[in-house]
Amino acid sequence: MGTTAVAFRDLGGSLARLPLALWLAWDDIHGKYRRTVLGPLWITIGQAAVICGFAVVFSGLFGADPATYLLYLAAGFPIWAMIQQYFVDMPATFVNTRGLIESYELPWLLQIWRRALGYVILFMHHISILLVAMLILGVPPTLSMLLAVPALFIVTLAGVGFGLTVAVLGARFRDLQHALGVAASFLLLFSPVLWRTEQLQTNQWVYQFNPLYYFLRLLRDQLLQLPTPVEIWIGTAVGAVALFVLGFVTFWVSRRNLYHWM
Amino acid sequence: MVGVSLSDVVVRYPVYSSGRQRSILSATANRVSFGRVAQDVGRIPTVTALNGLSLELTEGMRLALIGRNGSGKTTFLKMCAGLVLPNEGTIRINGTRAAIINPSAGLDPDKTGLENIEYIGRLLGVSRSERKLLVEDVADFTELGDFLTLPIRTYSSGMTVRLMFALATSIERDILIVDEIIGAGDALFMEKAAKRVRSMFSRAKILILATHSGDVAAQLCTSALWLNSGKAMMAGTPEEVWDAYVHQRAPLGAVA
Repeated sequence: MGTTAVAFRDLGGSLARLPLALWLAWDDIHGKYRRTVLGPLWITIGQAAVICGFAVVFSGLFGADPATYLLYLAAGFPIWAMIQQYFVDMPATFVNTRGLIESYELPWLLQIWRRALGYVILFMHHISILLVAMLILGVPPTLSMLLAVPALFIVTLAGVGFGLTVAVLGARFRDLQHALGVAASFLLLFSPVLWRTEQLQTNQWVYQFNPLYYFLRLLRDQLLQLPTPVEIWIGTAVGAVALFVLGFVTFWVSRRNLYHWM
Repeated sequence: MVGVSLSDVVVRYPVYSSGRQRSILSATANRVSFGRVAQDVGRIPTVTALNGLSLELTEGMRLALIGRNGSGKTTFLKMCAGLVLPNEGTIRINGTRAAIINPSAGLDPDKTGLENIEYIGRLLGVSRSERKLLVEDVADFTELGDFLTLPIRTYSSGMTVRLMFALATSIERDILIVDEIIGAGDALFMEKAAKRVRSMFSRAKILILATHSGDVAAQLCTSALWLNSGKAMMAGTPEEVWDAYVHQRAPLGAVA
């Protein structure tokens, strides 16, 4: 049984156990809020407070319409929170789950799916803020919002590919997680989450050469019921597949040494 | 057909002695400078844990691994558990596996005993109806009673060991891989654990057990392998291998 057979069997086995990964993801989120009265509601309350705060300050700062800006933030923040997890949380996956991997015969990639699905569940929690804001502001939801589902799939596929790469490298290089944490806070400034691309008069390369912008925009456009150029759909889909292949190849090539690194 | 087959297996692993060797910044600096900067990062020493082992295990075989610390016993077990892949040679494993290598792992300290049983049961793919039986089995074996409704961080270490042990031995698997277990727990528990392990060993189709006791090897196993510095010194019945190991091993001073 070579590394190749092991890696592909792991991929197949982990995909067959996606329901288990989903249950584990739920369980992780409940576990985090075990000793609280409100439970996972805390996550949403926290996000809502941040979004309202930013909406008040930044609409004044940029002279924008507070209502539009609130919706923009309520759609963009949850996406950013999800993207950020791939930088901050994902690199520790294999290091943190070493005990489980040692004790039970489970596909290793299951731990990656578990985390990615956890991010999706949190995202769903946060999106309720957008829905409430739409209700209050009288913006009717349309069927086109359902395009957010394939968009979320593309973003998650790309995230899993990136996340798998950094989870493998993060086991080998223990400072990667810190480096990526710094990168994530830096990238928040460079990505149009708090600001809008129209507001940036100069230095537009900041977002144009920033791959995160396209994934962010892909999903946010659907949530805000805005048209998305077909190039962005194709580009992000191709990018997501390429990232997934990169992640799997990294895992495949490193599988022999991965246990020693953990 | 359940089986484990190794041919000319070599396992090497990297040893990171300084924090710098685990840094991506140092590694980048080393690469960018063509090895002039951070030279220790460019050369990471490796240890050869297993060196050219060949072995065939078929159904019904119970193998005892004997050898001094650092002779490659645990690496051998980890390879059979699928954690470590050989650098050279091939390994084929057919059958489901259970490994009791690091029994302290896998439990969530904030969950209650019952929740942990449910959690591990789900991980192992135990169905809902079977999970009920699992709870009964574990509760019966551990005798934890009302403690099962408390978070396991409130348990004493002996109680945690009981729970872990019961869980690890509750599911039947074809190949059972065990590393020098049964260290903690009171005398009564030890007796009970030994009984449970024996019944589990008798049901497993293949057993691979690392041990420092000739008695354990003789009682539980049908054959034995003596490892020294990753090489097979001798294979045979547990009695003769243990005898040879005790009488012929190099004196302590010469090995270090």
